[in-house]
Amino acid sequence: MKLWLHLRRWWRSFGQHRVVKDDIDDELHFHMEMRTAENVASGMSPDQAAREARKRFGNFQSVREECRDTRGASFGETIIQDVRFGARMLRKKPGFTAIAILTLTLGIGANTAIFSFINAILLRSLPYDEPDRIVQIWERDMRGTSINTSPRNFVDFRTEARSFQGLAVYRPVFWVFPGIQEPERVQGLRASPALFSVLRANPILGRIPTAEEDALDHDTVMVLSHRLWQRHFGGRTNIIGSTLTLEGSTTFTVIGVMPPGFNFPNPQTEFWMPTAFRSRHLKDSARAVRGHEMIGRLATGVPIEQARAEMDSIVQRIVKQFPNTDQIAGAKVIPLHEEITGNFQPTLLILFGAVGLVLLIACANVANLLLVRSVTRQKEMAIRSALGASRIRIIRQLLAESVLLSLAGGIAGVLLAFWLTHLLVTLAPSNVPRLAEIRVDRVALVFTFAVSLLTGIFSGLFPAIHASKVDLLGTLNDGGKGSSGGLRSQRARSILVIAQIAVALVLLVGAGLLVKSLVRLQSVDLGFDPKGLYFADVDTKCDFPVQLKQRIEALSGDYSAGLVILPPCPARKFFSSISFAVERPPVPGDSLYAMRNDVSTSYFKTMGIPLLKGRIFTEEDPQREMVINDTLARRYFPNEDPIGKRIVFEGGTISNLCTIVGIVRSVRQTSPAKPAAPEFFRRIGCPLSMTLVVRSHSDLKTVSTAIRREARLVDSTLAVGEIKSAEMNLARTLAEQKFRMTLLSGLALTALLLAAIGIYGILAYAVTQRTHEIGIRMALGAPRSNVLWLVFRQGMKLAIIGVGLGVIAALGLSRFMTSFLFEVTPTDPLTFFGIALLLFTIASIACWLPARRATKVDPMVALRCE
Amino acid sequence: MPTTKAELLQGTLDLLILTTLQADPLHGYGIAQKLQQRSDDVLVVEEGSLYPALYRMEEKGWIDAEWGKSENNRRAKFYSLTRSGRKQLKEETAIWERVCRAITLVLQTA
Repeated sequence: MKLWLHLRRWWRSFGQHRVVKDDIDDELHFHMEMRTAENVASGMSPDQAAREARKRFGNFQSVREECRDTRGASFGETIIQDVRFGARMLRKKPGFTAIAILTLTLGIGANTAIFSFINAILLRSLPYDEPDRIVQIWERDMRGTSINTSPRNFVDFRTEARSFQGLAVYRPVFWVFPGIQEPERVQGLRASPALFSVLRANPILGRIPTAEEDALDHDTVMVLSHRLWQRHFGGRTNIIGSTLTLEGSTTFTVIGVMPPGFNFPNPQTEFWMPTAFRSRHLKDSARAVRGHEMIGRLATGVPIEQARAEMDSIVQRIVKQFPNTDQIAGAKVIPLHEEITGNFQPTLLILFGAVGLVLLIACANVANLLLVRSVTRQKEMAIRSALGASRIRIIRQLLAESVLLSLAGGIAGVLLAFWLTHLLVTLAPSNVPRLAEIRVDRVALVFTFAVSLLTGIFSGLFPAIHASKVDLLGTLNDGGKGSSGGLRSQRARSILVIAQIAVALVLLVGAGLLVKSLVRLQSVDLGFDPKGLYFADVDTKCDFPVQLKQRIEALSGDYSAGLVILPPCPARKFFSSISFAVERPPVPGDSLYAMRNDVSTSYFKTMGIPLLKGRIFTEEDPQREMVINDTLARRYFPNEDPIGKRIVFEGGTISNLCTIVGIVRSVRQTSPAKPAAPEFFRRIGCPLSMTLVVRSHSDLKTVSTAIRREARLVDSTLAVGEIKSAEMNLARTLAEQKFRMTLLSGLALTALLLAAIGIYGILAYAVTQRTHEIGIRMALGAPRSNVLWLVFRQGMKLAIIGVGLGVIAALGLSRFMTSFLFEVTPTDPLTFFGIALLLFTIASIACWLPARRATKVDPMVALRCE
Repeated sequence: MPTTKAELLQGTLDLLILTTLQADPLHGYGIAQKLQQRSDDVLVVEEGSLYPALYRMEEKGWIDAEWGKSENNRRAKFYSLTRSGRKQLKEETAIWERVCRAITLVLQTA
């Protein structure tokens, strides 16, 4: 209590030294004036009154000095003294100082780096005007899954909803630009012009599309991103108003250029054009033809709940009116910031927790070092205290040292953080939201400063309080070994080491679980062999991909090729299942769902997907025959032969019957972590976009060159998109898991290292403390193995307690990781056992080294050094 | 005017200051005045010695200091008792009374 009072007063007075001096003078002068005035009032002359006042006051100078001494002892002057003294003491022990600063640098640097991520992704608001009013809007199906919207439904939302200042839909689109050297396939966005007003984004050049241009059902105008403008048009300002002919036939007028930072909805988007809805998309029968995402800006004063309720009621009205064309349950209205960052938030929070624990371990290490030092400085403290230093003064001086250490660690930590943040950004999966915005900014620096200060106080307070409990007589009489105090601090340090081991174990278990998950994920049977498999997104002009496929199949060598709408394992955001029924159109309430995918006949052979039963449709089939995967067969036709069954999909009529002709093996379609879903395959027609699948023994470069060359030969105005190997795609889908695993493992290993240093340090010190005792034991005939065991046991006892406590803590904490784990339970016994074993191994090495040193003690030397 | 001025017994200054602060916060000059009045002008301290005592007691947490306006509207520092100050006052008063009784006893029996 009293200590707290002192600390508070000390804090309050921090840096007010000058003020204090003046205050003392002021107070004393006030007294003199009052006395003089009273003397005058009682009839003295002013001169006499002043003299009398001085007489009664006594020696003004010495009173003032005395006041200053009493007060001054706790003010700024002594803080500077403390800091200077601290710096001197730290300089005198460069080894200790270096280790302490290095430990703190690691802890603080890692914290700053992870905080920079959190700051950029979660804390900083989106780069739009009033960003918290922007919302993402989804429809939701019967199972509560978010699904996107259709142009027809959007028109209803736009005319009926009152909760929004504006609503806009958009979908990605690709066009091949002629480019300066060769054609380039560029990603852009078809979007309602309202998109720009919803985001409150203005072009730096020209204008944005008008509502009239949006209402046309053909393409006319285009807005360019700053990057595309620079790359393809050299930043020429006269580009505005000029026409562009793309893919040989379509003509656009460039009407505007957006500012450099504008990249909605993702950094790959490089141009924006009106939606150009076709009239057939605006018919009521097309309500289920989705594929559009939607954002809106809430109207002034409208709470998000109200917008949600309104959207829900509109959806319900639509469903009631058109029960056969659309089956949706309601709408979702989510703040845009949450929509963008929500998925990544748990990862960040876990990492932040882990990095915080590493800092705690670092603090414990420094506290440990300080405790060791406080024992060797016991005599110094005793002398200080004998000379009249108060306990608070000693604590303060020691705190000044530890805060100095941590501030030095903080400065070095910031440098480390700049580098680490850069490293992490390059390591991070490309789908991390707002990746380009991540940097160590002012907020992060303030955070680091606060963390450093806290770290200094946290690591220093315990040793300082400890050291300030000086047993005057005992220490001064003692031969300087400080044996009694040594025992006391030995216990304190043991507690710290136990805590370190426990925390390190928790982190290691977390990392271990993630490693195991990733190994499981990487060895999962996908249903196809990713080796030698390549994917290329191709354009929508129908004959282009078909001709390209034929040319590649005809190449000499081992090429095979197929076409597919939805290739497996780059997880697509939307992969919604549709409902179907046997021998009749499905009605609301039917519970048969499957994914529908269109492929070319050669797709299965190229992918290496075996046909299990029946046959594959022919190239000539008018989409009336279908192949299903064995997951669908097992789930919906468990006791009968699905071949020959005729079914109708959602939105179809009885005249759209399709016949199942074959069964193929299932493939993990969305992600390696998700088991295969029921899936239909029809012959591919002319979809909006498709992917060319190529299998070859050649490497990526050779295959890419071949595909691009053949594409140019088919049509020189067209180009294929980025060509990726299936292995790259898989790596990308696992990138987030890998990132999480790498970071957590790195942190856990740092923790392990620090804990090992901790246990080593305490034992090594204990050995030097007990040299004398060990010498006596050996002189009396104790065998070396006894001595070894004596020291080793002391360390391993701590390790066992630490591991025990750590296992208990980890059992409690690991369930927070459940959502990150794949085919591993959070209490996986093997992981726990393995990690405990690892810790014991490391701990025994850390114990064995000082124990061996103990056996090398020469009894004669040990006894003589007394 | 008093005929004799008593020298203050060592250690009693703190007790006396704490007593004067019992009712209201006072500035240093006020404390000096009050001491003089209460003792019928017998106890006259060397006024300067009040201040180091005040600072010391503030350090110990017995009294709190705050700047305010004096009766003649000048900036002055006012002292008031803290909770631990009251406790201290009680203890010291008790000790003082015991000592007084003892001294009186000794003087009577002599």
